[in-house]
Amino acid sequence: MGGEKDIHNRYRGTVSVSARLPEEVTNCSGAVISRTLILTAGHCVCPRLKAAPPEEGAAVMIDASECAGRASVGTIVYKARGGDEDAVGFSTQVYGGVIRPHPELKVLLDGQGGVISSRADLAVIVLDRPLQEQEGRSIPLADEAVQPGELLVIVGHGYDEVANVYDRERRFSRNQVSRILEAQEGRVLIRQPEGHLYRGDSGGPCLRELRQGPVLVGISSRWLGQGGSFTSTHGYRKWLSAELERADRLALPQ
Amino acid sequence: MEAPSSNRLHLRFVLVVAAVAGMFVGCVGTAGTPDNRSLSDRARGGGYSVVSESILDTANRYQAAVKVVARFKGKAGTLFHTCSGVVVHDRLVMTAGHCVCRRRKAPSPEGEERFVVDQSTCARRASVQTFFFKTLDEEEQERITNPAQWPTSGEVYVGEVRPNPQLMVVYTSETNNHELASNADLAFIFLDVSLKGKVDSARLPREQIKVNEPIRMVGFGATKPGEPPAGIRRVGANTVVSVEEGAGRIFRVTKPLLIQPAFVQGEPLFMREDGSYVLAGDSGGPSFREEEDGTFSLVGIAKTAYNLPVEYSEYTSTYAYRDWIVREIEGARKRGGTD
Repeated sequence: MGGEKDIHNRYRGTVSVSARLPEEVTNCSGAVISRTLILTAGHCVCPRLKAAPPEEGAAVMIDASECAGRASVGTIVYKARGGDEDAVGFSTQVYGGVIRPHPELKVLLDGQGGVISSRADLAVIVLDRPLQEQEGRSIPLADEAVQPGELLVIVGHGYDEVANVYDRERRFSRNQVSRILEAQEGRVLIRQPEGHLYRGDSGGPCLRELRQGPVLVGISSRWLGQGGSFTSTHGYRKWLSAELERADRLALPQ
Repeated sequence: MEAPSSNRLHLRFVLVVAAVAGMFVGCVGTAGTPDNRSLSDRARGGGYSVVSESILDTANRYQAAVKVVARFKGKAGTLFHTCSGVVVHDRLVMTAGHCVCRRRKAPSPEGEERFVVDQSTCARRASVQTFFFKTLDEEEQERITNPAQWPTSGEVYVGEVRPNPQLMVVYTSETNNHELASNADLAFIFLDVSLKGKVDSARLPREQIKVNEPIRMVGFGATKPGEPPAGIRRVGANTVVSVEEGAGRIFRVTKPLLIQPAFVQGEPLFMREDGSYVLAGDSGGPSFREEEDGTFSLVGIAKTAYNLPVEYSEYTSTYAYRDWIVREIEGARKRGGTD
């Protein structure tokens, strides 16, 4: 089993994110954390810089210095029609916004693209206008940090290895936390019980399922290196609250 | 669908490296085009990076072209075929037979390994997705970083698969799309319910396709060779170079190859005019002729494509199968009515 299509809109707090970098246009995902604020991975909106400092054998560095200014954010809403699981309608929309990377973003990669270290691989996008209610429900931040062995749902828009398509459908998959790399500022390794079948979800939310609904524990970084990983948001709560407050202030009518 | 970046005559370089005959770029399942690039390279490339927006069908002129997905249950889990198709009646969608029927092992009389697609291996049901681009003003268009994020809407329908009774495609391997033989690579999907709202059905042509005719090719496939299907409707153009002698069941489209006197590092350099070709996910998609009154008629259904050393795409001529097509449409009318 790979990514499952979210036709019941359970995870409509997930959007697609794209930024134009010098060498590529990225295809990522993001998490809605307020009607005007999207949280994504730093490496989705900031370029890989060749001139890495000669530390720890890094060949490539990603930091907050040369990030794209703006990103576009895509939503999809499914409308089930009748009893058949396959019979659904869909409607997509696009929004624009300003990128604000985490100031301490620093990802070091080796010559083969493997991750040496990753810190604050996060960025927010401040939308020009708020998302419609049905297009994106804000995901609350989790109160408790992620635990080893915990089962999480990761949601994203992107490449699905099972269907072999690169469309904008919203898909989710279940994953298990295998290791928490405390030293690396919240980097968490995960495995997908059925193997890595759905990996197009960098920037997408990692969710803990609670009775009252999903809560956010991290942001996926599966494009980086080998094997799945994500950035736990728990250690970055202060920055997130400041960004949420700032976005709320900006969104207030003049 | 790979398409030219402009309508002007533009020359593209094709460096012929080795005689890699008949590399597969048609409709794919999970066992599709071999792709040795790392996943991150594939993911970062995205497939949308350099394609001009003008080739998305944002005016919905080719709204009869739809996305087709067939699912097959197998030992290794579910296998998906993502293809294109075309609406010919509000309950009937035409696609390629190999999009909705899978390959089975069928050794030749001499004992050689062969794989065959015929009526016996078809999915019972398949799904069809209609696709409409929303109208955007200039400011809204500016906001789109990635053409794949153009706002759209659509509906997914399911229906019964009805392959052409003569369907028979023979391959040398389970994954490579080099065909040894191909006949009637066509199938219909008879939808459970009529399409909601208005989707303009494609019309059949009054006459057979001819050499040198320009055609419009429409599909939901990849934008670059080796990429997975993009799932967004694109339009391209090319020219018919040959039609099967006799029955006229298949025609080929490509641009002529011009041989340059120049050599680069010992290899001869070839040039070719820009044109569109069938890529992964475009199989089953329509090609249209523009009639004198400005309307379009459905002349072909994308069958397969070959690239190096000779790049061309093959379509099944709808004219050659018009009796069967007309019978199916009549049948849909009788069974269909309104839902």
